[in-house]
Amino acid sequence: MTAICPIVFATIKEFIRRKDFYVLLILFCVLLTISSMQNFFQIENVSRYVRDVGYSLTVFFSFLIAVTVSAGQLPREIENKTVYPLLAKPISRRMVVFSKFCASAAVSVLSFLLFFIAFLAFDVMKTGGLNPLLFAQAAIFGTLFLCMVCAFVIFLSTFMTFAANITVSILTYLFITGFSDSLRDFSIYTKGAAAICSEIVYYLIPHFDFFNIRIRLTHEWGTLPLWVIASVGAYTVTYSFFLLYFAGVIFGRKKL
Amino acid sequence: MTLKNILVASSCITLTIIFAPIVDTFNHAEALTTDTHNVPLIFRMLGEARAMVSTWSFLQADVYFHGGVSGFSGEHAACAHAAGKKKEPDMFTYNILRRLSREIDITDHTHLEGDKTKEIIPWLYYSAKIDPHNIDAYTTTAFYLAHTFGKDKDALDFLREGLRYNPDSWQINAEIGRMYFQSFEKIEKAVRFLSRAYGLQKQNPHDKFQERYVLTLLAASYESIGEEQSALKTYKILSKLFPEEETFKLKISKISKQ
Repeated sequence: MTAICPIVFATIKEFIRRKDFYVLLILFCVLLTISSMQNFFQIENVSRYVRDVGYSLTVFFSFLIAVTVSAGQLPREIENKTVYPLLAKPISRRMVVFSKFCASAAVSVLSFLLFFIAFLAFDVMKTGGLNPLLFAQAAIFGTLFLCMVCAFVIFLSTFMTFAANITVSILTYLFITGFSDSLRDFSIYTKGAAAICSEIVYYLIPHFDFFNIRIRLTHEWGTLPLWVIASVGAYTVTYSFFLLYFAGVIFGRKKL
Repeated sequence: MTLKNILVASSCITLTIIFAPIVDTFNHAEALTTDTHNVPLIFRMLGEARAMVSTWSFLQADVYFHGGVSGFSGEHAACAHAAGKKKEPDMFTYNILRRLSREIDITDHTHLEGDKTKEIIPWLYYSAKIDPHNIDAYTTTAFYLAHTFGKDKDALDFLREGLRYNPDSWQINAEIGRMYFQSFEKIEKAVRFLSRAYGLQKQNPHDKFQERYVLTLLAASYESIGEEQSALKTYKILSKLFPEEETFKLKISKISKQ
């Protein structure tokens, strides 16, 4: 814990110093203000699309921050040669990987919560009321999603360049959120080798789609049962653990 | 650092898109002659992708109409409410990942009703604004404005805006005609638009049900203003199109007797 905290605080400090988040926050507020102020034939209380746009932007902007922050953690330390004093502390390489994960997750979740608060303010102004339990679930799912993204990007950063990592992470996210349903249906309704292969792929891919409760939130479909939230939480912890474990193994064998 | 680079690159691209037509006088002159030059800049920036984005926005309205869930086109043949959840194999019970996925996904088939239908309006509105040649966007928006929200005047204005961009659209002409006939009771105007719609329809591919839609309104309009001969002629065309339909035969015999 004493090794992790300084790294986390240093990353948060750097995040506060950098202008990326502020630019995105301003852009976020401008886009939501424009969306909220739109008038459609003097029809009042048209609010779902604002909620939809607001939550999508919250998740997407936080995802961008999570990817860019996580992807730079290990390569920057190696590039600037600051990893040597860090390893001389002494901290094991696995602990370095875990600390970097904690730091990027802390920054990503912090930015997500700030975006989420801004989104809540717009939503309350536009709709006048909200389902607190549903919004709390959205916040929990957003947090879990960003933790998994950070673990995934940190894992990739142990063997990929910074640019390749960002590209692969964004493409994976887009592919999984876009085609996960098709993959699921494919493996259910096919037989033989194709079914086995798709089943393996289905289990191996990081299921970013599990965290997407945009439709539920926008169209007020009601809250998820507690066991689902617990299962998604357990899935996130398990998947992230394996990713970080393998990241530790790869980083441990890396020649620095 | 990378995020900053992305932002700088996007700003450069945006500025290039804004200034390129001004610098390039030929393109600028051409842009001014096209009927979409007064489309908002933000939508013009989409270029040729406008039609695609507009269609996506239109489909989004359908998704909103179904409470955020898509892919029900096949189920509309059956009763919407009976559709319920998709049938899935029993393995779902034991396969935790699939079960989770199913629990999180929403598959119930519902329709927005009454005042809640207003939620689809922004998508329809943007669909028309992004691509002014998306005729369905104009007619569908006008339909909801007039029938669900009682905003006949707004619906007519929106259709007229659509007509400015698509003067040769039989669909928009027919809708304006229908509104003049049913909502404003300005029958002469209705006849003018419906006749024009029928004329345009003949020049374009269409099916006999679409023809019936225009001709039924046109015949009724003729009847309302006392032009029996024109109404008779129109009902005869309708009877030819649908020989099994008794209503048209009755109308023909009724008008013939007069």
